[in-house]
Amino acid sequence: MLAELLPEILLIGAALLLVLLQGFCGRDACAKLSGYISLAACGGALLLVSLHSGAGVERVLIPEIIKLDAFSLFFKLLFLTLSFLVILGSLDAVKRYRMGGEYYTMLLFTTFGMLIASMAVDLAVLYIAVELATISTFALAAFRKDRQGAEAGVKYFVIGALSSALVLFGISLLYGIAGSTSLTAIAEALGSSSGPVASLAVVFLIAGFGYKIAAVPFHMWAPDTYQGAPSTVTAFLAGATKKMAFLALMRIFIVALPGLVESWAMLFAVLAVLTMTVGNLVALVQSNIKRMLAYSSVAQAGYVLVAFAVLSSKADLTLAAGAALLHMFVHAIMKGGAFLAVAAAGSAIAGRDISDFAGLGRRMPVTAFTLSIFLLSLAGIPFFAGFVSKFLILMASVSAGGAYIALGVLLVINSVISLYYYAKVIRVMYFEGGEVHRAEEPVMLVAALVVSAIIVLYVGIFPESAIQLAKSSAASLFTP
Amino acid sequence: MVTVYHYVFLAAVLFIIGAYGMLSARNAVRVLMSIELMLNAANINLVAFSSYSGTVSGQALASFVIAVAAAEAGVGIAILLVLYRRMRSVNLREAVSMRW
Repeated sequence: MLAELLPEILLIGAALLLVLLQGFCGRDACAKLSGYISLAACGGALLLVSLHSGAGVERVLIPEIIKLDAFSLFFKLLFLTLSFLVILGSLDAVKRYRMGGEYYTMLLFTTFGMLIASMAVDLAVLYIAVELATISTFALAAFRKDRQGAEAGVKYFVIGALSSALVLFGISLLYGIAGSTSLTAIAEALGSSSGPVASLAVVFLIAGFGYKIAAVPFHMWAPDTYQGAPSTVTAFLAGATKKMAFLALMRIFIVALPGLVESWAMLFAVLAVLTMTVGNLVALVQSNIKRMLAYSSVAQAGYVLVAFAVLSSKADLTLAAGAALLHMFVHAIMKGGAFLAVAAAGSAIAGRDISDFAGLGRRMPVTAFTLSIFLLSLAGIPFFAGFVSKFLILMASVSAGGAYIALGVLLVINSVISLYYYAKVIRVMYFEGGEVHRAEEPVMLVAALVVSAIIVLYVGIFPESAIQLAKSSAASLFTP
Repeated sequence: MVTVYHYVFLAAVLFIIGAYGMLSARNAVRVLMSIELMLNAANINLVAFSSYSGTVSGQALASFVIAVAAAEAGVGIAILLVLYRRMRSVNLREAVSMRW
């Protein structure tokens, strides 16, 4: 059992080591050393997980509590890839924001919590793992200690605490019905009956996790927090911790509440329509690039929710769930990459308004080029990864037929709208700004950007293996 | 005779009071207190169901939740202190430097 948990042990060991380390060296030296240690731990864990995922075996580590299956391996791959990229980029950013080694400790704790959450098949363990990750991100969001940073932290904290209380109340209701917190036991106890208490629990869980995934109408915190937090942290929040809430939703609703699929899929459909449309329309009028990306993140969560809604149809469920998984992975890389690019631009540009980015194409060519790749991928242009995953969601909704096709059509319309505000940034970067001189680009951040861009292009041009991986990972969710 | 319904009713009332306090309070410390109320409402549920169904996992989760709530309050108060240093106030209605 220890062999399967080696990535987690590596991460938590490194995190605790960093806590001790802070007492033994000066602040700046410590921050540097902590960065390299956490990068090594994260890279090691990533290597171990990717070796595992090739085997494709399912192992029950603690019966009814922790299970390692293809689904959890997929999310581990996602979380560790993003943590690795963010830590790599942070090596440059930490100096600028004058953050100490505790920054990396928090990142590692969050990653550890997310990895445990990916394996949990018991509501109690799932809740505690999610809380470990969330509470660590509260501290991360407040790392910029100016006024905006403090406001971002407070808003994120208040909403995060509210959502965890809602989720816990929902869990307590499910426990009351089933007499157990194990997901399979709840599924057995509920059967296909949908009493009022079970429906109430569904509402609490969707509202609670709705805050975490920033679905409209639970999205108000996201733009403020994404704007006020350091850009590297924002990359982590938008890319990784949001996906943890999606992961928890999928586990709970597909494994524990399949009997209530009609009612929860309906709620997800309503949320999907609101989230896509409001996110995109408000993103159109943003002038701050981080707020624009935040609203685009809201809209992209809506696309994933379309796939969730399709789960109630009679069509191929692994296609819908697989499409959701692939879009989460692709979105994590491209949105994480876009925020890292904003962080890289921050080394030469003081402001964060889109107009401040004028002439970036000549000033910081690599940053601007990779940012353009991420934006085109977010818009869903063919030959970029975002197109593949969006197309898969569209295919799932069309093959489900009936009213689900309307959701797919709305997705396409929204993609067209979104092209406007993504293209605006690219136009400003390359065709405005007049005479500018070349600025030095931060090395580590550029390395992270190039790796993310390569992933986005690779998935976009050779999508077969990624689609296969996502579908087989989703399939493991439906086999008991 | 106190039945499980009494406990569930108490928990529901506490949760609603907490949610109301959370949405209406201006002072951030009050918000923190409201969060505690909501978490403890869920705890009452867990312990009541646990005792009536004769399983212990609810009580185990409740004791974990107490620890989680303490950690959450710790981080929350630290963030509030940062906010206080920047604005000289913990009034959430004044924390509006970012709009739209």
